[in-house]
Amino acid sequence: MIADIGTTWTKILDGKYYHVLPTRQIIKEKWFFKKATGHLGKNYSSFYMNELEALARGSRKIIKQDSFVVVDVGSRDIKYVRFDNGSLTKLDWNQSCGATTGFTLELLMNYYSLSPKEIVIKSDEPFSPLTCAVFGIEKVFDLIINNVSPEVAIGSFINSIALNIYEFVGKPEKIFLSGGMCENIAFVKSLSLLTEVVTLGRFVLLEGIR
Amino acid sequence: MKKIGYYGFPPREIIDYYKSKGYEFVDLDIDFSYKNTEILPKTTCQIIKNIVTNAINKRDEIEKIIATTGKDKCDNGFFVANILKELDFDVIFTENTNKNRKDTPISDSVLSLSKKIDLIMQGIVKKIDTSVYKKAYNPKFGFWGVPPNDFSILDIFPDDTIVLGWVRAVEAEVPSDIELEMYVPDGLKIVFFVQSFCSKSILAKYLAEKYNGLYIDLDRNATISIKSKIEAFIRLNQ
Repeated sequence: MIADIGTTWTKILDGKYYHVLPTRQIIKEKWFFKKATGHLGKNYSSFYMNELEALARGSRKIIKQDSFVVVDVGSRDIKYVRFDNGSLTKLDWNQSCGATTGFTLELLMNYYSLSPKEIVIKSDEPFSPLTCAVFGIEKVFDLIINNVSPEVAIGSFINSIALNIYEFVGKPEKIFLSGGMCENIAFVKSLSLLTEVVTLGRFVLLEGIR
Repeated sequence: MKKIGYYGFPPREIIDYYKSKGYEFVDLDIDFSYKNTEILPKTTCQIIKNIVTNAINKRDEIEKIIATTGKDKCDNGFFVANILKELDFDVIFTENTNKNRKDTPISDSVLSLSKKIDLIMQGIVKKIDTSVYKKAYNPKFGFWGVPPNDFSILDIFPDDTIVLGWVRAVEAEVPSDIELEMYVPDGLKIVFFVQSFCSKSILAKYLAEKYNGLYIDLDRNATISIKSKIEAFIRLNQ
């Protein structure tokens, strides 16, 4: 069994089968894996590879192109790698600010009991960057106070997150998206307004350590 | 023994003068793990914070401070020299404008990167025998920048990593030589490092973009993501 042990969710490959479990369960039940990546991977495996390297190796296996940009948007961080003509040319990892991460979005959506399909992504309003997640949340509250629905206000917030990510990875013409945000249709729709998006799902890092 | 504090790379003749007077040298750039003084803003380069924090904590040990205040250090080196003077330290204002480059055998050697940088910085105040170090003939990686506040990031690099940037200029005894500081040899994968809030970030970012390198900045201690970025950069380029 191999695992990508993220902050919130653990993605597991057991033979041919994929599973997603809450990381708190992995910690509580003291699971131990043959190989692991992810935020908590070091403590729960006999072989560890850091997430950025796993993303690079996994995406190289999955994407049958020599030049591409892949970004993984997780609960607490985003990371990306760029390959040109088969060689790694850029990589970065933003772990210190929640303005670009899934956690802030999940927090807001849970607070308003909304699912991604209920969020309204407007294509006719300008995208504005988000300098800080806390300021972003404050902006959402301001909009709602001014009679904007939570669905629209959070949609605007998602547009800002999408812009941050798009700029963070160097504004490519096409982005391969990895991680849990692939399942957030509002986010994918928003990012698709800025660039072509190909979703890879949640198991790219597992492919990297396979 | 009398002690004298210094920061940056003061002119050789000034170091030699105080050596001849029997002073022991204390490098104030180094993080001695004191609690940061509140005198400077939080958004100050950790090395500059170290200078002031160390000076205050070692006030009873050091008689004087040799301050580097020109292009050999940075604007903040000049500003803190004046602050330290205001705080009643005996500050000797200097600027190392030497342009006569020496060889850089340690920068180009096979040796752990942390040892290399440590030796180069020790070389400011003591003679280092460089004949024992072997030259790296097929290096793949370079480390560009200043000595990091947290040396643990250096352990990630292979031993034949070449030292570039300001540290190389220090070994060449020309800390204000911007041409040497910006020198980047062909064919290397390079990590361009700066301390957070250091004005050298302008150079590091520019050069990292130009040479497809990895730009890294850190404040006091390296985070997991900083180390992971360097680790991935090295492993994926090997």
